[in-house]
Formats: sequence, structure tokens, C-alpha cells
Amino acid sequence: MAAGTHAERHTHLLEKAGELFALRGYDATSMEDIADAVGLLKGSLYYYVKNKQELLCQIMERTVDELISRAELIGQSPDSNRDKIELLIRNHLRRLDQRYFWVVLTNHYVVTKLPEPVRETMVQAHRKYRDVYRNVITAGIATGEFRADLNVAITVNGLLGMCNWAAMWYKPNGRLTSAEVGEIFAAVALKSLARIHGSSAAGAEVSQPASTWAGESR
Amino acid sequence: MTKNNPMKSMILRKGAEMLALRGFHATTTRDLAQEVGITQPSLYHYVSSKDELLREVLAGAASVALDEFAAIAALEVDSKEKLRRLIIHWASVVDRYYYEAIALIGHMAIDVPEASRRIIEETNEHYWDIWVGIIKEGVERGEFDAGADVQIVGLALAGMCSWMTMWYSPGGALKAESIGETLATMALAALAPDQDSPRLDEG
Repeated sequence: MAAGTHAERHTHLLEKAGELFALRGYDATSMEDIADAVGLLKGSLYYYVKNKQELLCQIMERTVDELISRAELIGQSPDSNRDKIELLIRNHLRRLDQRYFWVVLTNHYVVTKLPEPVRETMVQAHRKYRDVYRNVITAGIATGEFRADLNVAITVNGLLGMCNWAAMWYKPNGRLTSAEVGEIFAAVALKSLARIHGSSAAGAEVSQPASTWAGESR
Repeated sequence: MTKNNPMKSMILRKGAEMLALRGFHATTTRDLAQEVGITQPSLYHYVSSKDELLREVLAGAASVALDEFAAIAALEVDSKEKLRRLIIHWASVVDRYYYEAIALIGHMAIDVPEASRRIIEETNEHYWDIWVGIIKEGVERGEFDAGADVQIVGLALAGMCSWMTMWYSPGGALKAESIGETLATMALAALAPDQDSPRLDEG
């Protein structure tokens, strides 16, 4: 186990556990495997977490916390809405190099393995994250930075899909860094949102149904 | 043979739902038998194991979807129209084969046995070839501008569409047709050559 403070060792444990869950699957990974990976006796793991499920919960919560706290700051900044979209997408993609296995894991269907209160926390966190994008896009339509003929809820889901999907194919130390991918993705997003020359007045035709998230029935 | 048997179809359909919602490990043939209202030994008459169930679910959905996508790619229309139709068709596949699409798209790929994982990977590769083939064709014909990195732009747009399996709810407020139209509009705008103002210049 790496030296350092309790908090650092705890983070290291979460990183190793996340790596094993992402590579082998959550069900196929035992607490013993995790103890081996960090060089601890299985019993010592319980000094940090109650059980395997708690490990997963902590990984998921930290992943979304880190992503969303930064996104909310971007949303509240005085930048233009175009700049905000670019920063949001770059922030999202950058996480792939910083927290590769956590992001991969969060993308998979492990949400079904979470206990109800944590699952609810995750659903709320996703909603908050989507709201940041939705508010920026809605504001950008009002200022005329973005086209007004797209359904905002679908647009937000499309952009988040682009970013989230990257965890399915991106490999650290590959041809491009995640920051470089983020730059290309931001350009794609801005081009897809750009107002078309001669298009209808800002704010017109905007339809804005409540956005959805898997698990929420409407 | 049991191939086109209605009971078999129901088992595959219910099996796909369980696999997609619970994941591979938490799905049991016992629960599935109960769900379709037959005994576990009878279930084994149709599918010999949970592994085989998943393989059949994946292979069945993959062959239908890939054939349809390949047919769109082979149409004699311009690349913009092909991509538009492909995306709209994808949205309708997610609507019609919701659970199969979740299983196939690979969200649960890390949790499944090797043979099924291979079907998922091969299907995704095949789909990717069709997808990026249309984009490259459009770039060659001068209909699209994908910038310096066609590969990454193709992945960006594929992600916009593929992720629909994560947020779509069948029967919900957002209909598959309007999702397909919106995503297609975004993708075509993202690929539009600079001097070209799509849609509105035409009308």
C-alpha cells in the first residue's frame, strides 16, 4: 500500500478497486482481489470501507462530484455561452486521463448494483449535470449564439452522449490525449449548435419538454 | 426446431429485458422461467443455459440491425441523406428493440462471458464500419467537412446517437422519431462544409 495520509491511501484504494471493477466486472471482483492489488490483508480493507458495495458507492460518488462541481462553476462564470459549452466539454473529456477507470466504470450498468439511496444520489447528480448544459444552451439560444430550431432536451442528451461514449473507446496513452479529443469534441458541439445564416429569430420555436433520465418514467 | 416458436420468441424477449435491466450475473434462468410461466426444465428445452440465452439475444438483434443498416449504406442517395436515414433508423431500432439494444451497445460488455463479449465487439465494429464509411464517402464527395480527424469526429457523432440507449424511455415524452430527427440535424450541421448553410439555404 502506498505511503501517505489516510485520505491518500483511501483514494489509492478506490483507484485500484475501480480498475479491477472496470476490467473484470464488479461481480467477478472479490475483496480479496482488491486487497491483493493494494498489498493489504483483506481484514485491513475494512478499516477504510464496510464492504464491496461501499467501495463502488464511493467511487461513483467521487466521480460525479469531481465532474459536476467544476461544471457548475463553468455554468456560473461570466463567459459567453459558446465558451461555456467548450469548457464544459473539455472538462468532461479531461477526466478520462485523470480518472480513466472510474469514468469507464460509471458508464457501465453498475448503477443497478447500488443501494437505493446512493442510486437516487446518482440520479440527482445526473440531473444537476444536465441542468448545467440545459441552462447554457437555453441562454445561448436567447442571446442568438445557438440555433433555436433544436429540441433542447434531446440536444443536451446528444452532447452528453458524445462525451460519455468516449469512455467506451478512449484508451489512455493512445494517439490523442483526452484533452485533444476534448478540443475536437468542443468544435463538433459548437458547429452542431451554431445558428444558421438567416435562421429564425432567437428564442422562437424553442420547445423544451422536461428532460428525462433512464429510470424516470414519464 | 424451436427457432420460430412463439414460446422461444417470448423467452428471448423477456430474457433480453432481464439481462438489460439486471445485468448478466443477476439474471437467472429460474427467474426467467417464472416470468414466462414455464418450469425451469422446460426452459432448458429452448435455451440450454444463461450463456446461450445472452448469445442468442445478442446475435438475433445484431443480425437484424446490421442488415438494415447495411441496406441504408447501399442506397443510391447522397451521403447526407444516407447519414440522416441511418440515424433516424437507429433511433427506431432503440425504440423497437430497446432491451436488445442496451445489451448490444456494450454497457454491460465487461460483465459477460467471452463469447458474448465477442458478439458485442464484432457488432460494434461492423456498425462502426458502416457509420464511418458513410462519413468518409461524404467527405470524398465534398458533402461533408470532418476537419482534420474524421475518426474522432465520427466517434463524437456516433456517441451522440449511441448514448440514446442510456436515456431513452420507450413511451416517454421524447419520441424516437423526433430524437432521430434532432440527432440527424445536429450530425449534419457538425459535418457541413463551411460555405454551406444546410437546410435553410435550400428552403
